Amino acid sequence: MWPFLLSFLVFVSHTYGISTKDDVNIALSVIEGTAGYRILNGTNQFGAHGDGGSGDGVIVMVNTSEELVGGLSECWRSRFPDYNGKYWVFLPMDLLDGSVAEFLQNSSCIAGIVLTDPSRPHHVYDQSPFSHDSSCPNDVSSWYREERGSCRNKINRGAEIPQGLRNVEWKVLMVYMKDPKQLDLVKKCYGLFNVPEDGSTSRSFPLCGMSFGLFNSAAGNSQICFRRGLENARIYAFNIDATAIPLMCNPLAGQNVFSWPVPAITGSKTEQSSKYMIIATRLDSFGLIPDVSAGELSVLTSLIAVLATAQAIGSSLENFEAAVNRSSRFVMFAVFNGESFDYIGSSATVERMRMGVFPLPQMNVTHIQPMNLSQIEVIIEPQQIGSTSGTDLFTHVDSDRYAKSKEPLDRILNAMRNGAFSAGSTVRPVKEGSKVPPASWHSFARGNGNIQSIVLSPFDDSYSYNRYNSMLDQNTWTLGERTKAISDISAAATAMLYAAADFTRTNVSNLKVDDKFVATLFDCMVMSEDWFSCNFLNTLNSQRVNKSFESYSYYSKSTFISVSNGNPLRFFVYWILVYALGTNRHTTNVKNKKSCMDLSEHQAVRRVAQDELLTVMQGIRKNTAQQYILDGTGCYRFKLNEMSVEKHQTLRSPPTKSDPKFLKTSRRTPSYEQFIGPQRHKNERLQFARSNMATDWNKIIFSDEKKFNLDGPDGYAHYWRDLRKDPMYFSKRNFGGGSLMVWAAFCGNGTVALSFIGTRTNSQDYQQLLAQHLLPYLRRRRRANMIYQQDNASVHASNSTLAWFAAKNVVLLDWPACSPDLNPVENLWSVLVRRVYANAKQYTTVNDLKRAIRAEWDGLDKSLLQPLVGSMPNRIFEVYSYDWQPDPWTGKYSCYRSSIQLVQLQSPAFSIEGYDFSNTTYSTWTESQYSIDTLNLFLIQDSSFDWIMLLIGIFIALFSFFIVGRCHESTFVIDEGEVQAEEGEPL
Amino acid sequence: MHLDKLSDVERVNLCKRYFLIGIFCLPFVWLTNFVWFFTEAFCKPLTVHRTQIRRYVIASGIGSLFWLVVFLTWETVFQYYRAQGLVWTDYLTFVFPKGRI
Repeated sequence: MWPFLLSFLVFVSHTYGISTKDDVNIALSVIEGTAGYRILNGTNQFGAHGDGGSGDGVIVMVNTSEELVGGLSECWRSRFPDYNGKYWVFLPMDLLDGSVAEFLQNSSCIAGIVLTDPSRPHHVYDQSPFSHDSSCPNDVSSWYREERGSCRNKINRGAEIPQGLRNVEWKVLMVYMKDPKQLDLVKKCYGLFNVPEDGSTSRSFPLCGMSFGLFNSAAGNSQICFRRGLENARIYAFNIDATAIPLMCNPLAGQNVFSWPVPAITGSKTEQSSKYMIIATRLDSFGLIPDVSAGELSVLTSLIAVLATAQAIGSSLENFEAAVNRSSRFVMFAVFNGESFDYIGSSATVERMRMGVFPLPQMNVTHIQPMNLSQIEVIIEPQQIGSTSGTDLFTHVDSDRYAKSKEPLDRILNAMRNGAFSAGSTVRPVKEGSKVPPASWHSFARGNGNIQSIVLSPFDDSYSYNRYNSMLDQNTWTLGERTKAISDISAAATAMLYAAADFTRTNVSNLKVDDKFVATLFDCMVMSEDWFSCNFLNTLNSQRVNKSFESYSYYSKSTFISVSNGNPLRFFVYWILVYALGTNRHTTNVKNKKSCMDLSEHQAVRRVAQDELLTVMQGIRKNTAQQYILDGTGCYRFKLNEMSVEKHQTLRSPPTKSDPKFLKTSRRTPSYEQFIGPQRHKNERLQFARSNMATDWNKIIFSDEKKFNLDGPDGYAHYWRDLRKDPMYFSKRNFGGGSLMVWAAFCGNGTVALSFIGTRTNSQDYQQLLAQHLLPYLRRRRRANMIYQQDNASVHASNSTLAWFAAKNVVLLDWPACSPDLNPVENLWSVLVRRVYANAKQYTTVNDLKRAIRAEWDGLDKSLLQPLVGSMPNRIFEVYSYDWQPDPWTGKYSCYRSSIQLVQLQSPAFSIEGYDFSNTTYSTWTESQYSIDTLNLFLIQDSSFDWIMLLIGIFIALFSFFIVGRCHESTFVIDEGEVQAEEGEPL
Repeated sequence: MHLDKLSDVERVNLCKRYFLIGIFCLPFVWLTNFVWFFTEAFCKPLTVHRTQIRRYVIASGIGSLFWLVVFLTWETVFQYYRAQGLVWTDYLTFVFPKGRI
């Protein structure tokens, strides 16, 4: 019996070819951003989402569309006759065109698609239609009503499918695999196990398969998902953790850069009559897998043109300044972010202008005048520069507005023509009935009926570039193509330069676009594989931003807006504009970073003045006729550890009498430049200025809240992007094992206070906390006039809290502008977290964690905190911002003074209370939170093996029960004592 | 507790008590009552006490049926609308499903 069974088992394992030597088990890491995830808008969900079930499949590699279609139609049955499951298809991304996309959508035998680099290099004049955008990119957000919802004006003829590959709900997963090492591994496995051997057309088990999972949290549409994240979304939230309900989707929000070569300052004579020309471009594009979007012609060429114009203006800034001050006609450079998602950046800007808080609200200090929509005369935008082989540039205007006010626009068009001509291009005259193609102007058009537009582009009626907004917007450049592109960019830049000069009534004779600058930027941004390979950008960067492999947008070129922590391009644009439009003439004796940062027109110290409060209130009430909620000048910083609900609920009603945060007076400290006198007094004055302003940052008490879990810091949980490890988004204990919310405050002189708070605090709790911890500290240092900093959480900025601050005479820090560098508080958290969880420590009780945190907190001393505070760049800017950065050509550091603002903007839809998300006035795009598994390669065995083994096992079990069951009870009793005793054996 | 060991009167009282408790929106108590006293009420010869028990058992049975119908209807209606992602259904949900509506 037994030998028979054993031999049967041996026979079975032989048949199935089991051997431990043969096993493949490789884990490949998938970088955040290379896998497609779900994005949602007001009414639909789009993007890649597997069933959540088995993401397993046999690997199939295809190189032609016939192979793909043929294989799909029969589910590769002829090649793998025994296999019944799903497949992972590897195909080059230029194989994914419209017809194939349809097949893929309808097929039920695909678990996922892995996209690889295109099969052949694409050059810029390549006409193959690979745009992942829709053929009517503006059918939701156009100013022209007839374009909305109907798509009669097909401008993007390169779109693969009419509605756009981005706007498809894929039932399969998608990954972009670029690393040649990973691809080699897969190819090897594939070649060994999945390719039919010579002489046969099929292959049987074992087969090379892979598994991958990406699980999206959000579903339905932005409205549903967003609503579910609000605190009042349900009667009772079942959350043992008692944490805030995590948001499942996040609004797309990006950093926008605004720069003024010559700022319009309050109190000057230009106050009411100033007119603006905006030179705008965009910072973002997308692809089928959103992060994989190099955006060469969609973004970069036009961006470089705008930067070149800025640099040309900056190089003769005095003339420009003189002309502007004479004529009161200003120019603003705007780099909007989120434009490809229904104009996020520009619509938010228009909102702010309508409320009178762009770039800053009216304050009682000297600052840049708030811009009003009626002050904007024209918006010039370059688009897709370099996309044709000819040298013609077309200007698109809105014919109705043009007809109403021809002359001013004609002047500018004339100037543009002259400019382009001097650079070797021609600008074609405006056509009859011209309409503005999709551009940031559409947001402004809605805001005001007089704003005109000039879109400067090489295309006329429809796009000539067929890979606009696409994963394939990445080209191989020959030398000739490069030269042509650079000259195209220079021509467009010159046209805009002349337009700006004419608008401000500057003499053009000294203005010229720097071709070397254009060529360098082109090489650095368009020709290179990532943002970190060329000297110019590296010098400018000087290690502030590092190429990190954790995210595709840092590892390679990406122009997707993402949620806050997007690509580093925004930093480079900021730094380039500071270099281009800033001057370091006035700060020649500023020798180090600290002094540069100390420089500020006015202090951050503010006090409340009741009457000014009223004036501003009236002003704001006039501007906010509807029931919009004023969001102030705060930045929406989406901190990684706290995608907090509060951000969306910064629902602050218009400031009331008790609102000290909003309004300030100043101590009129004269600007440093006005002190510039004879050389021998300069040093004394510098000392004086410094002593008055130098200790500013040390007077600020920084505060923040952070959640600590027993198992580890909560810094990563919410955004769920786990990369190389096994899925560990749930710790081994339920609900993360308990957590603790910590509030901490510190200043340059040492720590202030640490307290453990509940995770859901209201205003009263917060006030009590401050009364207990902050007020005693302030009382002890009454003479130091300290200032308290907090973020814009709803509890912190509520009316009762602000009233409390006023009553207790606590001065709050105004926090208007974002900076690319980190908040010192976040640095402090990372230090503390590292110490508390050193050596991967996990805590068993909350009290242990509390004790550890407090111990580490007490161990922090001034020497650690001082550099954190000292690293604060100057972000409080009213007119000028001082940045300590190197000259990108020479590497020499100096202190640049420029009027520039880097601000994160999200769509106004998310700050308007009760906004109906099906309304298409504002962008409603959100991005789902998701978690990623690793990609595993393994061998798929015949599943019948499992069944046979199971049957054998059951059979043996039953057999053994049967045999044993027949035994008598006494066979199990081993006791010879009684029997022997009965037989008379002595014991 | 074996029903056989109780006296007639005690049995009636027990059945009655269960019935009364079940009135406070406790359908499972009624169901228990029904099941437990079923043989007692219907499978044995009739007496005065058994008539009473029968009455309570029938009432409990009808009550459980009523609750069953109510639950099924509510569940069907609620799940039907919940799959559409309506606001009021979300308000009544404890844990939101992730990855689907």
